[in-house]
Amino acid sequence: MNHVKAKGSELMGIKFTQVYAIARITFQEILRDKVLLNIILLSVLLLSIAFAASNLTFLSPERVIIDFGFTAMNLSGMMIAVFHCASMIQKEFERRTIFVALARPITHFQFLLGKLFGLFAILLLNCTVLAAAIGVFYLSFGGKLNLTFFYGVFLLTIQSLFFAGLTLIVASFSTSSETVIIMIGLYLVGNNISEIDALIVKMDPGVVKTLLKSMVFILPNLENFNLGFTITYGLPVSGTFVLTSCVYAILITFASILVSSLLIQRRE
Amino acid sequence: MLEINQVQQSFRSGFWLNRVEVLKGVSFQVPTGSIFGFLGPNGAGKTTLIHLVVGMKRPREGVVLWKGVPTFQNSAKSNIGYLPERPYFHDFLTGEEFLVYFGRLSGMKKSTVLSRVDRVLASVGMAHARKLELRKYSKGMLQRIGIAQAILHDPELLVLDEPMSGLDPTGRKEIRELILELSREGRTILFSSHVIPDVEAICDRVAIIRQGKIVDTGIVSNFLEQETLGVDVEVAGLSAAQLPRLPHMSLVSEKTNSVRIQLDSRENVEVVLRAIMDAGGRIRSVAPIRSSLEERYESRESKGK
Repeated sequence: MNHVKAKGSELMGIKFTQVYAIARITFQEILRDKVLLNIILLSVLLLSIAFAASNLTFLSPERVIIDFGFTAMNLSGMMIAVFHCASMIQKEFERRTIFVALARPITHFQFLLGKLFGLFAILLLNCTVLAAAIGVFYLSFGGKLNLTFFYGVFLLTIQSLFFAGLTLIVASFSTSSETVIIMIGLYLVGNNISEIDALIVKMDPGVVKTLLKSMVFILPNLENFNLGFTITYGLPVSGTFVLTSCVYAILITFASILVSSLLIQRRE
Repeated sequence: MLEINQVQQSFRSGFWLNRVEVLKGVSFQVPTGSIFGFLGPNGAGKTTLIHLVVGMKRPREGVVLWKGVPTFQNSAKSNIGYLPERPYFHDFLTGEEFLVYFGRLSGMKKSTVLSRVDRVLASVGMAHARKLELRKYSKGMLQRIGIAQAILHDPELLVLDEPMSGLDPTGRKEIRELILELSREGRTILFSSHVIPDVEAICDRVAIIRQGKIVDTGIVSNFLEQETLGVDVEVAGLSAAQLPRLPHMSLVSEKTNSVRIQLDSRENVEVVLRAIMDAGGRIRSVAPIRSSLEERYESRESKGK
């Protein structure tokens, strides 16, 4: 009897044939999910509001399009990451598909990496479609696309992946609904880290100040990915900022997968 | 040979994360080429042990070896096929896509998978459903495609967790025949089941697990031969009243032209038969009464309580 030897491109012991297989099936599965359809509908609604609001504005309607459009992209990316990641692992256990997969010569890390790559492909598709729609509206209102626009789209896509990684950790030890609640809280705090920083500066030294400082250090800083008014006004963004944010996101995402795989092993 | 040696496994449960022992020093061996049945009530530790056998987890203590290699190692895993209990598969995939997915998970090249798909589907009797979505499959078909993914990478050891669960009698019979066919191909098969007659019909060895301990293991035929409960005799030409009165003999039933009696051991058979014939009776049948695997299992269960 001849049994098959595992083959495929390998990097640091990770076989990408298997990771690709999991990513592909995850992509197909999310694409068929009604949750994704609802999120896309919400994004379309936000873009329609942006279009309507631009028509009602006397000055710089293209800026309204950019503002609303990037908000839609930010929210939809975050929602896809949180809602899908929160239930992804739970579903795998409920359906026992994780057991059949892990009985193959793959590790928990490879499995989660594949799941996250599949989700990332969806996030990439979502951001590309929305960016194309925003771009078309923007151009039709007389705006001019510049590098900042593309940096903005790239950073929001990376932010969604980063947030998906964090959601994976929380989902490894809590239920789907708990995960969603925790991640919405983290999203709100993560987008206001500079506000907490400003508060810390004004505070007298003490326990609360130390506590807030540690929180700022530990909590994810989503402001690293949100260019805000820089995009609205088409101001230049340094390549170093984009690169640093990208490296930050990738490192945290890989660390998240590692931590999640250990937590899931314990959960089993 | 699959060797399970002094395996202990536990998990933490409750608010204080107390350790709960699931497997307590389990040891047995599954010889190469055999069909090994694994019996036990719910919560006995069957699925936990199966997870260790297929290499999904490492045992906390002890070893699980397939051909001398720990089963959690990739070299052993790629030689083991596994069908979980009541599996859910991605139902939007067709039979072929499903097999390609699992082939790729095993590290097989796409061309190798595609060349195996035809053979594997034919061997489980599912060649006609290659392009059909899994959502359109019946329960029996899903079980068959599940077995197909388990044998796709041509493993020598096949682990089936409750393969007949939820199937109707025809489906069970088909899966039984399929398991026998896979065994004839030279595979070693370990399967757990609640349906004891199924285990009795196809297994050559069996282990009974209760509360995380193996309480009985051995060759099925030996199990059954060990305990001959008596002898059943059918006699014609005599009524119950005309039967000679002998010790160790009891009347079971009386029909219009025959009576059935039961002897409590094999030792008195010749004496009893001669006495019946001397009284003018004709012997229609003589059959030993053996305990079924179910009775053996139940007796083990009641001893354990």
